Amino acid sequence: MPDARFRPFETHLDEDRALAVLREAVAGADDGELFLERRRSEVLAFDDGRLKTASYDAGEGFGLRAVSGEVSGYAHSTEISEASLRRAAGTARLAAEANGGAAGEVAAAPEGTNRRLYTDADPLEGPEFSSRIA
Amino acid sequence: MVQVTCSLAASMQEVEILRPEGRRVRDDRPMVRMNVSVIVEKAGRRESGSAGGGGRETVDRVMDPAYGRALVDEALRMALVNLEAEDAPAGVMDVALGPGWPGILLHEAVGHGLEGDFNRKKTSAFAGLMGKRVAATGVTVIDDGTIMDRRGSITVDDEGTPSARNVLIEDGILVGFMQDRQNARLMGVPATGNGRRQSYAHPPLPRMTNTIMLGGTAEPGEIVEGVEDGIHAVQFGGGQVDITNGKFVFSCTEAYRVKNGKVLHPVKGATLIGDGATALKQVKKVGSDMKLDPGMGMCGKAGQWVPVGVGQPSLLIGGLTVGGASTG
Repeated sequence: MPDARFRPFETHLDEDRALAVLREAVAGADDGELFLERRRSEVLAFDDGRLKTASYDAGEGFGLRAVSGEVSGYAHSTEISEASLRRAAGTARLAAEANGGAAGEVAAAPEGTNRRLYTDADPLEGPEFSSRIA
Repeated sequence: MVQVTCSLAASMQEVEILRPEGRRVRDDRPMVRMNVSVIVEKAGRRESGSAGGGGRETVDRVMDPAYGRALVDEALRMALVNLEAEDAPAGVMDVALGPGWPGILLHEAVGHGLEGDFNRKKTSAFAGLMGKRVAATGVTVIDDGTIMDRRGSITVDDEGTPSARNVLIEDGILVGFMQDRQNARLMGVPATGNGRRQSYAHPPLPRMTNTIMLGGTAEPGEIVEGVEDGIHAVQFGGGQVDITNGKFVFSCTEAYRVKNGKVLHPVKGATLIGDGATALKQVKKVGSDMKLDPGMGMCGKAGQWVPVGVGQPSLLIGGLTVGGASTG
């Protein structure tokens, strides 16, 4: 089976160029980040033992944020592309500008972690879930 | 038995966070939840019961027939109890809370008031009380996003900060708030790994993960025996809180009338009314039976929904307002 993981920096964006756009967006701000997400969900509902509804939903997108003091600029889109990222950066930048554009102290990065608190196995994969319908 | 409905939901959220300093953080977040509802009828009267559970896992555990059967048994038991229920009493009285899911009251009435944004803006009932007594001795409340496989757990939050076990109230003293990066910076404290968002379309906010009151020393049996005139609330449905004053309303889905420490009969339609700050100070006994909920909570704030967990031991709280239909 092919690797079906969400890997936006292999399939949608060049990481170096995305980082450059992010840095432009947060220039003069204290903090910010690019948040990329894919979510897929499946729901099966049974009435008295019979399958009544089955639904599947999938979506992906990004949110780009720049934070300056109490102000934050946020833009998001379902289209994960460099062009879309650039448009979002234009909006997110407004936060730093609205706050006077004075370069504050850039917030320290969060600490790293190698912890695993749960499996990374996809509960939608594998035969068990679909076999429930049979 | 009139109707049995069952739902099985599975989802996978994959997150990549790129930070300006160039660090990339990834978190793959599976989620599974099974829910069972039962409606029963006897002599023209209908009552319902429900049970659910799950966590950050694959479907293997909940697909085991024994798991589903246990949920059906529990939902049916609750529905049959409710068939025998009488109108709930009304008035100010002692309330014994069961362990586990009733922790949702703690989440609503206390947890939200300990989120950093409400305290920075001083709109929380707990603003300005850091280091002060806010709860009875023996009450310790934590928010712990690091518990294995739990519904409210996150490896990192939605800003890339590793989740943590944060102590909020220690032996009755307020010692910490839950923070995202922005509020932490503005308040001059470290981020606590509580910056969460519903999706890419939402900016992060300080949110709870698994909010838990730790167990105490009282035997669970003495909690109910300690009720002179009140109710024993075992399961809750929905609830609401006004964060500015901590006032909450909760409806019980399974509760019993208790007098002189003796359980009399089930009651229906009981609601619990109070405010978090007062209720915390009225905790008279903390049981030794801390239990986590089975994994079914969703928390809404500013229009954003995130999965959360709760936990608590059996508790005896004095002087809560119970709203019920019985005038006797």
